[in-house]
Amino acid sequence: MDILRFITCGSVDDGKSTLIGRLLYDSDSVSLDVLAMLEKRRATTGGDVDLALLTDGLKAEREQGITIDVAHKYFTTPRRKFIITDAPGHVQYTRNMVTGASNADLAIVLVDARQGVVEQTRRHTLLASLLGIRHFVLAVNKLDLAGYDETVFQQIVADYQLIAEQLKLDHVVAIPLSALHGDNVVRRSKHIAWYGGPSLLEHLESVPVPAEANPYEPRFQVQYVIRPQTEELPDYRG
Amino acid sequence: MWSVATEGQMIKTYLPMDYLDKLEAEAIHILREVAGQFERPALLFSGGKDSIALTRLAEKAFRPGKFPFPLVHIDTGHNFQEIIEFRDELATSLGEKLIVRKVEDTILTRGLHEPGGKYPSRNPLQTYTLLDVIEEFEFDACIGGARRDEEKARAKERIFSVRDDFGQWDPKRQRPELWNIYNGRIQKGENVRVFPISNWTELDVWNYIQRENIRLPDIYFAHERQCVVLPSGQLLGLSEHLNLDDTDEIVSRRVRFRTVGDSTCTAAVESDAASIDDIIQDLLLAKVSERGATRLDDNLSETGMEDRKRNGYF
Repeated sequence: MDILRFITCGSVDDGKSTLIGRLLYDSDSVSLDVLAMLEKRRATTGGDVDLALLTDGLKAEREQGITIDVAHKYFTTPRRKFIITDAPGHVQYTRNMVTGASNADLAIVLVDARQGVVEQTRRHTLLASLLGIRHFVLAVNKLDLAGYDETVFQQIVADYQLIAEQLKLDHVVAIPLSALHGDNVVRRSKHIAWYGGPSLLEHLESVPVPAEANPYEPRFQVQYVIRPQTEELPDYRG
Repeated sequence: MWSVATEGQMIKTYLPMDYLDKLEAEAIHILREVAGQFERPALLFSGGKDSIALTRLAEKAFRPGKFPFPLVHIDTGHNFQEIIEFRDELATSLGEKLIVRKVEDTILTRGLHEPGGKYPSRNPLQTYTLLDVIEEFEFDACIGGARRDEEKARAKERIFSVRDDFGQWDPKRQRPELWNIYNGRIQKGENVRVFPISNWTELDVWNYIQRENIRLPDIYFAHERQCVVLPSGQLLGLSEHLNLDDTDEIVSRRVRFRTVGDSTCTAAVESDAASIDDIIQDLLLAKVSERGATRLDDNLSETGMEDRKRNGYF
């Protein structure tokens, strides 16, 4: 089994936290006590269970309904262990997104189907690529609000293609989905029959994990020298 | 140049490391960074499985040398006796220095109120003892076995988490932490809490314990125990620190502890798991999270952990 670390990024309100919540929820990775906590919240606020609360762990985040700092979540499928970094979308918290992106193997860039590619889409894609991420998923979210319309999806893919070409991104996979309703997140959606590709989770399970480091140009990092200076090891340095 | 390698070499080099090797390598790297960057680090040792796993990681990081830090235990006086014995044995067999400071003494010197109620938990008071011991030895870094999967406020914390003069965590002051570069530069009076196994889950820790054949205190494995049934249905091991009355129901059950904190705030879970393999099976089927199943203190409020961290808690 190997580990895939990925980050969710994109503009504020594109549904990053909801997507992670949905991924955890539909892959049975949320425990009963945590579900009970969500249910309790729903009872006081009304409406649907708010899946974003699974990752928005700070009081200020829940009060304001936004993500301020990166959160880390973990889940495992029979294929892989996943380390998820949920990044904030607001411009003023971009520095926190950078911290999260630095250790990711793959970036899921979310786009709201109604808004299309926006400034933060470009900024986050640029930063993720600058930090060394090679695998991108363009997740066109909230497609339910755009009538699951293929032309909406194709237009966004075409717009994003320009960014990908500019940044020379070789591995971009576009997936139409609705995080709120779970379309194409874990299971393929019957609402999006025109799309023949994998669901997001299927893709995450099969994408190759990039190599740890360049093994042909090694760098030797000296962090600390171990010098026990005991009788048996009078002159050991390690 | 990547192109110099033949295809055969590439395949060999790119075989993925086992995922436990990756987690282990990350933790060892972090421990050595602490040793390299700080003058007076300490390893906070609770006697629980996570901190026991940390000592194995420290052995891998520093043997044949000594640990560049002492083990520090905050003894609440409500710990399980088995844990205290295990702690002393482990410190002796490792040949490392163990510093113990008692919450009881802090209560006396600081004139704190002993917690009351039926299940009096000294857990919140630990923070004072911790801050005192940090001041006494001028520790600039405290290593702990906290994991991000435990709780939603922990999921937000950096691996090097800077605390102010009063040990307080301010989420708004979190610093950048890029790649595997950890910034340990702090102002005088500040200290850093370091979490080498941040990215491990409960299951990862057990898989590692199994792989490394790490010895644990017996209370992690199924045994008969006299328990009090709490209103929530949770089972609390019977101990002299509880203030029970006639209404309490005492039962004998086959239980194990999934997490080990104070005997007054850590519940037992019913289980027949007698070996590490059994426990791993148990966990794969478990539907309730580690803290949800066992901690009485997190359930007090939705922001229990965040509030305690802001006050200097680990």
